[in-house]
Amino acid sequence: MYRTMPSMKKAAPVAILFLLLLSPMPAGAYLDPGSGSYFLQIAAAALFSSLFFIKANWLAVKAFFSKSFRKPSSNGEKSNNKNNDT
Amino acid sequence: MEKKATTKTTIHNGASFRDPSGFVFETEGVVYRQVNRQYEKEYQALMSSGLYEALTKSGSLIPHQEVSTVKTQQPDIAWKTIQPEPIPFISYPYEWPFSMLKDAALLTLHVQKTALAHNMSLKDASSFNVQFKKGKPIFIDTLSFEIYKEGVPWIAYRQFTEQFLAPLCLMAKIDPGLGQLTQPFLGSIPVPTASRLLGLRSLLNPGIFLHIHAHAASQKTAVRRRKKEPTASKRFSKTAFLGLLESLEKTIKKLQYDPNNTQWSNYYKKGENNYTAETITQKEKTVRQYLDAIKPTTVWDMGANTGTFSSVAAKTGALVLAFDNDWGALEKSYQAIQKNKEEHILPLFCDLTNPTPSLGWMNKERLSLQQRGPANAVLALALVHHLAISQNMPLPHIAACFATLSEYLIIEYIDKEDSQVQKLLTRREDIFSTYTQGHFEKSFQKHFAIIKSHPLENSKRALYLMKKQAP
Repeated sequence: MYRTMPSMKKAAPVAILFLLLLSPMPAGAYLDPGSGSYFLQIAAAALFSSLFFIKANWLAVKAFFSKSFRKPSSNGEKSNNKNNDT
Repeated sequence: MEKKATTKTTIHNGASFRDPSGFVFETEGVVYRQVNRQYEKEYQALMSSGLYEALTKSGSLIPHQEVSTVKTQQPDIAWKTIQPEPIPFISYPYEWPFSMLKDAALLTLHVQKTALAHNMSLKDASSFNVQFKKGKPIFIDTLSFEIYKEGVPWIAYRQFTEQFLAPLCLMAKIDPGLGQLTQPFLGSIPVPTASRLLGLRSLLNPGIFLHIHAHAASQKTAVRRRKKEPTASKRFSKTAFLGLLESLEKTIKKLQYDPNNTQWSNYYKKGENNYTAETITQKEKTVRQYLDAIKPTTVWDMGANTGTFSSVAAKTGALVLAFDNDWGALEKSYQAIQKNKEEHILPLFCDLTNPTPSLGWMNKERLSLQQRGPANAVLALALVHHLAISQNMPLPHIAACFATLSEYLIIEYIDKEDSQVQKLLTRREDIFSTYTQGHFEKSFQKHFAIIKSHPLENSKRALYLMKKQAP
């Protein structure tokens, strides 16, 4: 699951996570998470992160996509005007 | 504010033993929660981080007071004792109609989101951690919080899926009564079982696909995976965690159930029953008169349907449990409670011929219906003919059953000549020669004294107010 980071600057968070893997579960966390549950959550983590990003920045995301759809029609008008001038 | 509690006999709650952080016990009818020494750090974090304040302010978590340590069964590991605000009646998720379980699920997700904002996280997500108070769900497990560790996936994700998402999907997509399927699994439906029951059509729902079907597949393949299961990953950041909660919330919010097509959900619509408007008014007035005479604090309305007479009882200020065995009627009852901001009524499933049994370890974890009684008063309106005719229950048996449920009984006798009883007999041989008003009164007088009785005008029905006699 983990790749060794080449840069010395990135070693610290990796070391912390490595220690996390080795450390026992927090006191009082008695529940069995169930086999496959952590695997699925980690596998889908990128999907969950983007879902949350989209929700938190919905207006910005919406504006970005509506701008992209408006571009082709403004190019067409410019070329017509050029023809009329000559 | 510290309150001193004196040493008395304690009863350790039968369901509170799995979490080493503490346990619930009862002394002289008052419920307490022991906080063990190993939970000291987490408790301090809960109280000082602002999380307790945020959750109690929004009515999401049951408030508590700290009391001087009482003598418990495990004083050597005790650190502190807290006294939560009491819950007037303990109900179980397999007794809740669809929208009650849905609201309990959304509350749990809200509690978890709020916890993350205060650097804490729920270490379990059991549906038994939610109860209902004043018509609303409330989280009751104060010791459910742990310090958040970035990179560690949600330990309670499987439990949340089994105890909330899976039963909700089955209730919405297949049958509203499938919440009861959690009884043999003690509040859960195993994810692979839910996956198989839901079938192919649910694959198109992205949330159900991910949290039920992919989850089931991940469980199945875990056995085959050679590498050790990961317990943390920097990929599972706080943003990913919030995204997971967002996904669960969206999936649950989209689940809907239409309560209009069950056998009894439209009983009080015009033409569906044989009451005239005047008869209903007289019945309401008489029931209210009987209730005012006995002033009960708890009323069990058996066969409450959509809660018409539960509302009459609620006006006296009593806590009213609106029991019925029709899931559509229960759903409508709860929706009306939310709409009217009704605080005195709790709609719960009950089949009186097969009431909720006691469950769990040594059958002592979750209590039967009778163990959570008795009530002060039971309403048995438009009910006795269903028990006696449809369910073949002899009148003496019915009387003996009601005698175990409460001190006072307000019951409606429905004669065989009534058109509703005639409907029940259209396809059947009339073997009910002993079903008469005389035999009804004699059967009930073995257990009760008849205090008052009024025939209902324009009907073959009569109302009775009875009080349990000493045997």
